[in-house]
Amino acid sequence: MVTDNWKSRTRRVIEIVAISLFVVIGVTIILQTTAPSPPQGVPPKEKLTEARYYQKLGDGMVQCQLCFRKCTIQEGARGVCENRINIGGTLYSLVYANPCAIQIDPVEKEPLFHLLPGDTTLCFGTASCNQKCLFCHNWHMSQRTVEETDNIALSPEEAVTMAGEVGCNSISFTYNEPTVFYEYMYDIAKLAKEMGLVTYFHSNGTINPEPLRALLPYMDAACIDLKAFTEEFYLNVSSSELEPVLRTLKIIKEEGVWLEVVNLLIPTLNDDMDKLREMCIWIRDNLGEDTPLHFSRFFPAYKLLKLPPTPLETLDKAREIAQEVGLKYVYIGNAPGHIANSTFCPQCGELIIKRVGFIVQQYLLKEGRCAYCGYPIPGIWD
Amino acid sequence: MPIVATQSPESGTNEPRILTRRLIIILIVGIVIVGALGAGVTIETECQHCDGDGKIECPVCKGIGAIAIPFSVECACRGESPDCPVCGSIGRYNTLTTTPCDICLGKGYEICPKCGGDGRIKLIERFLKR
Repeated sequence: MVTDNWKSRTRRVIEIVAISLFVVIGVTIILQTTAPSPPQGVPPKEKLTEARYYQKLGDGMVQCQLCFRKCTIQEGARGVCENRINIGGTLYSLVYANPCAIQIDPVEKEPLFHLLPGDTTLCFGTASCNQKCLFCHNWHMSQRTVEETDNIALSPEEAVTMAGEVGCNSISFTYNEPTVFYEYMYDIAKLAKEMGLVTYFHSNGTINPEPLRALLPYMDAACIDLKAFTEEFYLNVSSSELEPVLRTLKIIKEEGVWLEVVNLLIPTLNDDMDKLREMCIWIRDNLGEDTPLHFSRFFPAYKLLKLPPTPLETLDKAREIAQEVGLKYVYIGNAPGHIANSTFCPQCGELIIKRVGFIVQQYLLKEGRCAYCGYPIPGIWD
Repeated sequence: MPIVATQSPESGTNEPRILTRRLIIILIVGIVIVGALGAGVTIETECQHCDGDGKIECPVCKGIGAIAIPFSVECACRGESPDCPVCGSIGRYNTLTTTPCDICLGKGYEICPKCGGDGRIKLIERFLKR
C-alpha cells in the first residue's frame, strides 16, 4: 500500500516536472519567434536625430519634404536615400554625426576655382545618395547604405574643432549628396560660421526650396552638378529629374551665394553640342555670364565601364561653345595639364591663376582684380 | 478446502486506469522529446564558420567590394608639353577605375552560408549539420 502511494506520488512529480518544462520551453519559443526585432545595423532610437522637413500623414506614415522625391515612408521603412527612417511615425536621420568620409582636399578638387585658390578644406561625406548615377565615381559611399560603410562618430562641434586642428579655413560637404545628411550639414555649417570658417557644399541640386533657403545663410559657396540638359538623361542615367536642379541653381543665385556649375561630359550620353549650347544659354540668362562653368572629363566608373574617357576634342568644343555664348569663366576639369584648368582675365586675356590639375602655380590677382588690367574677377578671394 | 482464485471486485476497472497511465507516460515522454528539440532550436551559439560576424570576406575582391580596372587615357598635354608632370611627355598615362565586385555586388562580403547572416547558429542546426 505504501509502495503504491510512493510510486503514484513519484509519477505525479515526474508528470508535473515534465509539463512545467514543456510549458517553459514552449513559451520561450513563442516569445522568440513573435518578439519584434529592430532592423539590423540601425542605431537605437535614442541615439538617432529627428529629421527636419517632413510631414506626419497619420497611421504612422510620414512624407519627407527634403528632396524632390518627397518619399512617403511607412513605419519601419526608409526613403529612397536610405538615410531617413520612419520609427513610430517619426522620421529620423541615420547619418547624423555619422560620416564615412573625412578628408582634407584642395578647394580646386571640388571644383571651386573662384574661392580661396590654393587653400585646403576639411570635407565631410556620409553613406548613400538620393540619385543612382550609373557613372558615380564615389559609388563606394553613395551607393551603399549606412550599414555598409565604415562610419566615424563625430558631432558637429567635434567636426568644427577638427577643422581648426588640421589648419583648414573651410569646411565642405561633398562626396555623396549632402542633402541626404542635411541635418548634420546644417548644424556643422551653422557652427562653422560662428567660428568664422568658410563653408560650401557640392550638390546634385535636387534639394527642395524650403530647406535650401534655410541652409544658404550658413553657406558661402555652392558647387552644383548640372549633369545634362535633358530630362531623358536625368531619368535614364541618374534616376532623377532636371527641373529641380534648375530651380536650385536659380535660388542659390538669388540668395547671393557664390555658385559654380559642373557638367560632366559623357561620350554619347550628354555630349550633343546643340544641347550644350542650350545649357550654356540657360546659364548665361538665368545665372549670369560670370558664373564659372566646369566641363569635367568623364572616366569609366561604377556601371559605365564600356564608354571611353571623354575625348579632349569634345571638351575643347564644349568650352568653345560656352565662350561663344558669352560665359566668361569656362574650365576643363579632370584633365590635368589642360590650359583650361587655369583662369584667364576676360578683359585682357592674360593668365591670372595658373593651375595644373588641383595645384595653383601662379596667382596674379590683387584684391580680387586682374593684376594686369584691374578687371574685377568675381569670387571669394580672401 | 478448494483453492478458489479470488478476483478483486475492482479489477474490472483497473485496465482503463493502467491504459490512461500508460498514455500519460507516453505523452510525457513525447513532451520531453519535443521540449528537448525545442530547447535545441532555441539555444543559440556563435557561428564558428564566420566567428559570429554573419559575413565572410568575398574571395574575389578580398573584402574591398570593388574591382580595379586599369586603362590608358590621352593626356591633356597631348604629348606636346616637354615637361608634362602627368604623362612625362608621352601623351598618354595609365590610371585606374573601380567597379563593384560582381561576386559580392560591391559589399566586400558574402552572407555566411552556415548561419545565413545571423552570426548565431541554433544547437539543433549545428547538431544536424555535423
